[in-house]
Formats: sequence, structure tokens, C-alpha cells
Amino acid sequence: MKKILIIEDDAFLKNIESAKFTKSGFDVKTAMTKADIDQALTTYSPDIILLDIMLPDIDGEHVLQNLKADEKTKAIPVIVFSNLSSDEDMKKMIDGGAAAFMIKSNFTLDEIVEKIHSLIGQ
Amino acid sequence: MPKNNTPQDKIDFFLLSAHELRTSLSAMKWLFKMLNDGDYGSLSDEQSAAINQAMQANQRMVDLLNTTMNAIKNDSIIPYEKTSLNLVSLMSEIVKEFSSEAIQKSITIVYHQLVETIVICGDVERLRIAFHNIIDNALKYSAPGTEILITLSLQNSEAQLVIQDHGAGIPSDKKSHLFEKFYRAENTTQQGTGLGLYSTKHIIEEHAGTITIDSTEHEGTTVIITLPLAEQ
Repeated sequence: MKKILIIEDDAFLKNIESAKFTKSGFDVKTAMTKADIDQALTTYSPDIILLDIMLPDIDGEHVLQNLKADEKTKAIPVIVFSNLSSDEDMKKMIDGGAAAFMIKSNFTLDEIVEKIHSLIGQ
Repeated sequence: MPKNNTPQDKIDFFLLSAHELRTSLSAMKWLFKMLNDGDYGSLSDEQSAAINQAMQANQRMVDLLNTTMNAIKNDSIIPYEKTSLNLVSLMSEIVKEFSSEAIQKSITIVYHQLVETIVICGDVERLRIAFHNIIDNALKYSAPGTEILITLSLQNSEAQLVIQDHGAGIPSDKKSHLFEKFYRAENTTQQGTGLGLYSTKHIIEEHAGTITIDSTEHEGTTVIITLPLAEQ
């Protein structure tokens, strides 16, 4: 079973994502704060990470930098999943090593599942 | 919103509001889809039809918000930031962005770049919006199994971009209205705001370029954009 870590601060969206990905056959863990993320990564080895940009005590750009600077996590594909959409945000995250940048309101969760499968297989 | 705010404050306020609106729109989109897929139990045909309508209304709001955000980026309130850029690379990036949508719709996008470099002086973010609008239209109005041909070349010391689809086309008596704000052709079944071509023309003309549309109803549409090259 593929493992996915959802880093998302909106509890409402997080619950829907979590329900959908679990139903689609993923093992799901969620995180919201920096401490949650650090804790999750010490006990869980996700195959893929879904990363929001606006988070309570750290922003997605720094989370991505930390992930890509750490030998243990740098190979994990990261999909930036945000409702921010400026070219500047997109460029920053793609240049920072994100595998994709997807605007939440433009995609259904089925399309995100498809994208995940295309990145890490079934 | 505080008084005496600068134009940039207004834009920031709008973008923040748009982000919050998108959060709610995302939740609705996902839940409607899951409901419709039977994730919460099976639906009658009538229930499913109602959810489909709700999904369409949701998509209309998403499109409206996206177009409005683009129109705001476009507004002269934000000055154009023109730099030297390679149009060939920019178009390759944009075509790539559409590849998964094209596959989903069984439409083939064929991109011919007849030269390796075409340097123009332009605002990359706004040009991206303009080209995106044109390809998005071509994809919206193309039938599955058809081809969209995109050709970028140098013609008479200008960059020429041709985007040709084999879609619904535009009725001849409607062509003169295409670039009007909020105009939508009567034969369209697609959702839209009527701001796309209006914004696109504005952007191209701000770059001293031209845009023309040649179309035959039921046969397809060809959009030709020309842009002056950067001065050597």
C-alpha cells in the first residue's frame, strides 16, 4: 500500500482529502504544523507528499527546502497542492524541486489520484 | 478593507479573498464528485442529475474566479514588466501544461516550432495568459479524436503563432463581436465568461502585436497572432 503524507492546514479540506485517498487505497497520514511534519517524517516514510503552501507556522516553500535538503526525504516526490496560483509561487516551488503544482479548485481528487499514480505507480 | 489603500493593497486583498473562495470551491467540487461517484451511497438518476448541475455551477464559479484573477493581473493598474524572452521556450512550456488535459479529451496537440529561438520583448506572465486563453478555447471547442495544430515561426521579421483547431467554429455573423467584453457566441455549449478573448487581444496589442481569427462554423478556427521581435 502506497503511503501518502498530506500537509494541509484547512481541517475541512484535509478530512475530505484523507477520506478520498484512503478510499483510493492509500495509507494516509496528515500534518499541519512544523512539529507535526517533523514528527510524521521520523515515524513514517511516505512514497509521496501533498504539500499546501499556506501553513500556520511555516510556509510550504520552507517545508519543500527542508525536504529537498534532507538525504532521507529528498527523493520523495512532492506535489504542491494549493489555491495560490501566481506565476511567482509556481516558479518558486517547481524550481525548489516540486514534481507538480496543482491548484486545488481546478482539479477533482480523482485527477489528483491519477497524478499520484503517474508519479509513483499504482 | 482599510481606507487609503494603494492599488497593490487592493490587488493583495482581492487575491487573498480569491484564495479563501477557492478553498470553499475546492471542497464543494470534491464532495459533489465523490457524492456523484457513489462514495456516500448510490444515487437515483434524478439525484445524480441534480448533483451534475451543482458540479456545473461549481465549475462556472471556478472558471469565473480564474478569469477574474487573470483579468486583474492584466489590468493596467499593474504595469507591464517587459523583458527579453524566448517565445519558443515559453510556448513549449505552455503546450506541455495542456498535455494531460488534451490526453483526457482524446485531442492531439501538434506543436511545430520552425525555429529554435524567437526573442521578443514582453511581459511573460501576461503573454502566458494570452496564449493559455487561445489554447484553452481550442481544446474546449475541439471534438475528441481531432488535432490542434500550433505553429510558431518567423514571418516578415515578426514572430507568428498560428493555433488551428477543428472544432465547432464561429458563425460568420458573430465573428465581429468576438473580442468584445463579455461576448459569448450563441452556438457555444461551453462555459465561459466572455473575458478570455477580450483580455487576450488587449495583451497582444500592449505588445504592439496583432491577433486575427479565421473561422468556419462546423469546420474549425484558426487564430493568428503576430508579435514584433526584440530590437537587436
